[in-house]
Amino acid sequence: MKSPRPIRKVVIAGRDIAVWLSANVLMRALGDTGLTVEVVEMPGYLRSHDVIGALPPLQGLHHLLGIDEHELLKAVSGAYSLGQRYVNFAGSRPSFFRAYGAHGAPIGGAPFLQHYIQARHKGLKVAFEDFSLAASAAKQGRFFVPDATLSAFHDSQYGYHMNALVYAQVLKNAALRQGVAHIRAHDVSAERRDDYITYLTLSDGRRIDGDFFIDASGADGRLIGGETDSWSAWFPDNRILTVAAEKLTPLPTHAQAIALQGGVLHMAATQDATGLAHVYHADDMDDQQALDLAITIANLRPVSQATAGPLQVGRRRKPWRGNVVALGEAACVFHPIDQVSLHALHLGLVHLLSLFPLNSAFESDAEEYNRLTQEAYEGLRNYQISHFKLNRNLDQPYWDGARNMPIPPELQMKIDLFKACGRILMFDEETFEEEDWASIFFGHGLLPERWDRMCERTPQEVVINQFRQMLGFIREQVEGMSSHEAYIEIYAARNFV
Amino acid sequence: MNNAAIRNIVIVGGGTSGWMAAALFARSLGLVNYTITLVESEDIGTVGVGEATIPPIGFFNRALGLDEDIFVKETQATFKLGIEFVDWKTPGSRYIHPFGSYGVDMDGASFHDFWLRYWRDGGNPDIGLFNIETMAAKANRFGRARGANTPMLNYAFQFDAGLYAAFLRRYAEARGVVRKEGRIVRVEQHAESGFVEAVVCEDGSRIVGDLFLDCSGFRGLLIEQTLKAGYEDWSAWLPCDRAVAVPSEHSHLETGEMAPIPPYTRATARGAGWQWRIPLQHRVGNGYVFCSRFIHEDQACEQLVGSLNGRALKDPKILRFTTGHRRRMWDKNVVALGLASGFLEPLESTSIHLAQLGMSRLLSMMPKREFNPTIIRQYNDMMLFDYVNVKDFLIAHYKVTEREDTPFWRHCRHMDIPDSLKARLEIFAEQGHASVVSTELFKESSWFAVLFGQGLQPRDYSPIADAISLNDLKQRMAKLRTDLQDRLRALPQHDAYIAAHCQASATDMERART
Repeated sequence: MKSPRPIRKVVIAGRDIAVWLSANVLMRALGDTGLTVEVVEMPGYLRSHDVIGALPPLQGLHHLLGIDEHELLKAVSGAYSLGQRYVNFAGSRPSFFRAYGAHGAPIGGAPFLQHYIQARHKGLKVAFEDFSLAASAAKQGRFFVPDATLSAFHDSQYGYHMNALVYAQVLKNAALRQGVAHIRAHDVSAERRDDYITYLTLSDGRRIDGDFFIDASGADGRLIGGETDSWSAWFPDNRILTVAAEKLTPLPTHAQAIALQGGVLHMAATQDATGLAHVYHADDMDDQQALDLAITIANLRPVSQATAGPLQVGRRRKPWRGNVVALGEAACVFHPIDQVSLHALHLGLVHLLSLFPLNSAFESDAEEYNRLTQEAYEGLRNYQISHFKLNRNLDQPYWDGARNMPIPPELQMKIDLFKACGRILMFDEETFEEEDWASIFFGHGLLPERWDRMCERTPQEVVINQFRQMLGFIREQVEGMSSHEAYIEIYAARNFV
Repeated sequence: MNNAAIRNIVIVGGGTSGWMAAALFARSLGLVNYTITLVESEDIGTVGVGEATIPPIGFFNRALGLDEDIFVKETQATFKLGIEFVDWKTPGSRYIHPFGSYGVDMDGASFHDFWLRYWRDGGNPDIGLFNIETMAAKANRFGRARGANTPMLNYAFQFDAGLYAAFLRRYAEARGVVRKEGRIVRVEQHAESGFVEAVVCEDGSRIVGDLFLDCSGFRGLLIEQTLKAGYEDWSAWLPCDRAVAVPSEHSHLETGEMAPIPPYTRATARGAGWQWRIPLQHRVGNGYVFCSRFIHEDQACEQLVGSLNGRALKDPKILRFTTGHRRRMWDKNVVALGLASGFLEPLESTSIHLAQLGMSRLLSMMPKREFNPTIIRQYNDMMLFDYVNVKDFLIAHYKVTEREDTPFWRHCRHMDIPDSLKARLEIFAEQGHASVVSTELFKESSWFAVLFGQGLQPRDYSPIADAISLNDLKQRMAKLRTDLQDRLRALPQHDAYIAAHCQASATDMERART
């Protein structure tokens, strides 16, 4: 047994956003420790019309990477997003929002959520989302940057919709500026000793050595290999069609998921186009029908060629195997609902950094990484599953099936506990927080049977008065906000010099 | 006797300023105690370069009690929200100098300061996003409605100067102004004082007066030819000395398509000067103002006609002028108005305004027959103040440029400029203010529009603009923009607005075109 070798060179092989975001993060975090980062770039899968959605935490990552928000949005035709809207998931109930940020404020030491449950039992008709500044703003196409005066009530954040191909290019330019070494290859194959990659052989025969490898090659996992766990039990559709449609006017401040008879249509608006992603089952319709349906439902003219391909959701059982870590779709493929893919890549990188090995003795790091990311990815997945499980589209076979399917026990516990007493059971490594869960639970029509006894300490008139004040505050704030279009136009318009 | 009030007012010349003066004096003084006679000859053409106006024309119309819609119909007018400057900073550049200001002042600092901070922070460099007149101009929209919390648009008119003079003539004659047709062959002066006593026409008729308004145009029949008031030549700073003008059709020469009528004037920089485009209801007024040292008249005509989108309706007409002003615009009992008092090229549509300013100032300072010299001096000082400031503003358009592509532009960019302007440009470059005093015609927002539009970028702004948080600034700017977008959406199309309120009849249009 040799003594552990130091890790001096990381080779990132892959394509598109995953390869370049990884390069940026590793270079920023570890570049000045003497670590060398080399990228082997493979031909991209992204098409010029693809739109990628980002959840609020990406803001923080960009900040660390020194990427200026306005400059980025100008480049990627970016738009802001204050949340997601779900249409047709809850039968005859209205569509609903999951807004980023807080809902209401605590009253008399008890969480707002508990007071809300109590009030609903006492006849309140106002939707949970109406207590969210972000949801109220999004409904009116408004946008705001949270500031100090709002933070007491509202820790709102925002995500983005970006042209994916240009975003990858922006990341690539940033990585190259930082001195990441870069070579191109049509394909790569890994030479292994046991689970350890000794070097990569490129399709042109060149050999690339490295101490540590990152597989950012997409769902194929060209380097990582190994077994995958399919999630198709919960997401039965197996094809995805993407197409860009004309831009939406006024420009919405949210993404939208629409439940179709046998699938889901996802819409994400950028400054100059609307990215449509239609998920369906190949047995139900061909790709042309899928396109026609997407266009009809979105009611927008297509402005690009459509592309369709298989969608196999699931995760790599061991995303860290030997001296290679899989990131992005090489590690996990998600359904497009909730726009979690980019965030999963972000999480993978964060966990990798926190466990990044000094030398080749990293079995325990790998084990911990695999445990953490499994929890993180499955947490995201469970949130997605809940949209299907909790649907109220009665007498539609696709949706009846989803409603009756068995779900992962963690999710079942979470739903059961909420129904019983309005508590949200939180597991480690979950991205979505209590209010994210509460929004969709209420949106889908759940109402807990009980509420926290703490609420009883505050007289009802006080609670009613507080509710009124919150709603009034939100109304006032939203009136004072600018339209999303105006904000973009004066800060981040694509065409400005 | 000398102390008696003026009774007889004689206006020499019946162009735009002559009839404006006749109408205003008839309306303001009445003809009980006064006689007003206007002498003009149909043989002498009028110049009428200034077909575009600026918002103070509204005061003039209101002083006359005009029904604006009738006025617009009668003069084939369109509405004007500003001037678009094309190719001035560099070929391909454009900006709008709008009527009305940018944004709103906040927390004691001007909007310009906040905007500069916003722009320095990476904001959109188009300040026109914060001005409703600019937005409406670009979108070809116009309306006069006033919202609950929103002011009216600031606007002026673009009209046919010949029809305007005819319209005012009807107005003035209906109120008792006597028009005398005839060419003036002699001017009689008091032997000692030199005061003008009468003008004598070809037919021998003699028109006596106490006060003479010289509206005879460039030649200054009374002010210069008779009184030798002297002329201050400003062509060292504003070298253009010719204009060629030609009206054209709205419809496109080849396609026949009618583009929407824009609610603004366009001034496009050319190789040796600049070209105006003034859209009226029945036709488009075009002209090339140039410097004869840099281009031949024939060439200028050719270039103008070649640039037209629509068919030319007349032969190009050449006008020759020397930029500058009469040293004494008011001398003895003669007040020069319009071109007789001076000439500044119509780049900022100031010709009619300066005439209007002169006559309304004269009214408010109406002398007795003794003609108190202090009043005269005061009037001349005030008029000169306006001429100087307008002149400086015009020079800035030529001086502040990045163009070096023709000898004319190289000359302009490197020419010496008046100290008064030099100081302004320096202060603007330093902190974004043009040091405008309140009595000046062109306010800070006009200087900002033009200087920034021509490429002069202030290095700094008022520290007051740093007192609010960046986030707060962002929200305010975005909210301002949102409110303006809402206002814009509420405005009708300019064409449609004219059609609904003040369109000239088809026969009038045809008659006026030809």
